[in-house]
Amino acid sequence: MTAEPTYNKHLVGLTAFFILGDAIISLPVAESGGASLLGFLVAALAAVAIFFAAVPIANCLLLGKGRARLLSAPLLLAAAVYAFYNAGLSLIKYTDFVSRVLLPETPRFFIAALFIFIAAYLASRRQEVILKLSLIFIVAAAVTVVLFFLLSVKDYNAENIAIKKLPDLMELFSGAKPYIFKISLPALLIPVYSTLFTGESRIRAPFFGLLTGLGVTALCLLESLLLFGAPLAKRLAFPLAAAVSTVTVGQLFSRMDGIVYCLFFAAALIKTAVCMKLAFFALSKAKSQP
Amino acid sequence: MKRLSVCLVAVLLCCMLAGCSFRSGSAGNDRRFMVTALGFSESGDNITVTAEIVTVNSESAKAEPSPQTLSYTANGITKALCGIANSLSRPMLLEHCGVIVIGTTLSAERLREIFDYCFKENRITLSAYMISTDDPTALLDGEPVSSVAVGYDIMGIIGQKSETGKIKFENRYFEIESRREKGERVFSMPYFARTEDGVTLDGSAVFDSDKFVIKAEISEEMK
Repeated sequence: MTAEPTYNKHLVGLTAFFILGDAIISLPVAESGGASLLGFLVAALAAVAIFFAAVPIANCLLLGKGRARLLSAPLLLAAAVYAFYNAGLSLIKYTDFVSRVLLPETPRFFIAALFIFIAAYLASRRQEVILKLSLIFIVAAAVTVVLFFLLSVKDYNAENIAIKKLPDLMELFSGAKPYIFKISLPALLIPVYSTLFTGESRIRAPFFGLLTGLGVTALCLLESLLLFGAPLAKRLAFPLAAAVSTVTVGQLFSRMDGIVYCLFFAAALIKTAVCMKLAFFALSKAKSQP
Repeated sequence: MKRLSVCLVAVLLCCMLAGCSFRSGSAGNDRRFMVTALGFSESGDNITVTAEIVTVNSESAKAEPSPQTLSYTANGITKALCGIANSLSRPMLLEHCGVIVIGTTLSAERLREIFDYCFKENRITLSAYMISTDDPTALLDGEPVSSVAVGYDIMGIIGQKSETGKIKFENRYFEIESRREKGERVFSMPYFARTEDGVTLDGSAVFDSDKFVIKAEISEEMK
């Protein structure tokens, strides 16, 4: 007799991609002001705090019995709306990237339609499909990000991230605000997804996934900041793609941007598909609640 | 049945995607115009853009890549580049542009326009080397010595100097732009000149507030 697969590693990959999502395309964000790196660190801590705050709520409302279950419908409804919103954000960011860099003469509507079709197809498959894809892609993504980070080391300027003056609380908050929307708040959905689809309370796998996602995102952000400095990096529409475009290995490999374009596609696709799946599942579950 | 239809779609796609190979006259004429270097100089109120273009024919293995230099003067960079593109039978590929040559006579406004253009134009890599010279057209319009194009010769010289540790230039586009963004007014880029032996590193061009101010000499050993 074979044991039932737990899909813990897969859940790590899926959670990590959920955090990477559209953030990997656009970090560092222009609105983060002078506290880009510190703002990100604050947002990363906030993501962990939000995750641990959401776990007991999701467990209590989605797995609990009696009165707690009565409150699960509003939670599911809110989760569905927020998941749809996140899917939309990912779609807009990726469509913007494709229409500006890859297919500048193709109508944006066509690109969006194609992307939605692929994401919807993926969302409509069994859960194992998206989990397995996430595991394969997260390994490739982590290796790619670490490799490009190391290949750029010779061009880094440590002064670019040197903190000469500690920002005051207001500066820190305004620096962290855009990152909180991009990477912290989506952490709310992770326990809901995990509880809904596994039917049990899991903390370890989603938490490691969250840490992996935050770690990979931090590497991407650091690469852009160390290479370009915050003022230039924030002006760039797609900082990581620009950073990778400066990497050359010998005379043969001078434009390796294509690799990172695949990473953007995988991250945006998985996040959009997961959000779609979560939204539909949460809505159907909410409907069946007493 | 399902497998059969998948196979059919695959075969159809293969035929459709390889369609241009069967077009009469297409074989042996897959020419691509790769821009290896862009030069900018000022002509009165207008800007002259010079593009060193290497024509590559991937269908004909025997044909050697051949460099040519095309210039066009207009009141803006985009218009000048369109002028150059119009004289070619296919679009120029700016993705391989390795060198941006800045004329020493450029005004600060023009230089800012060039920086802004390179920033907005996704096809130009941020790691393109920026160099300076008196006459970009004359510098690029000569026979390459060690590679297929003068632009790549220049890249080779800069790379060699950096590898031997003789001199370390921080003259890639993103390095200079990063300093400008941080508010640093003074920056420099290698100054190149054309001699009988090809292009040579002849000094360092110093810019203050986006305007060329002086050519600093470098020692013979560094050259």
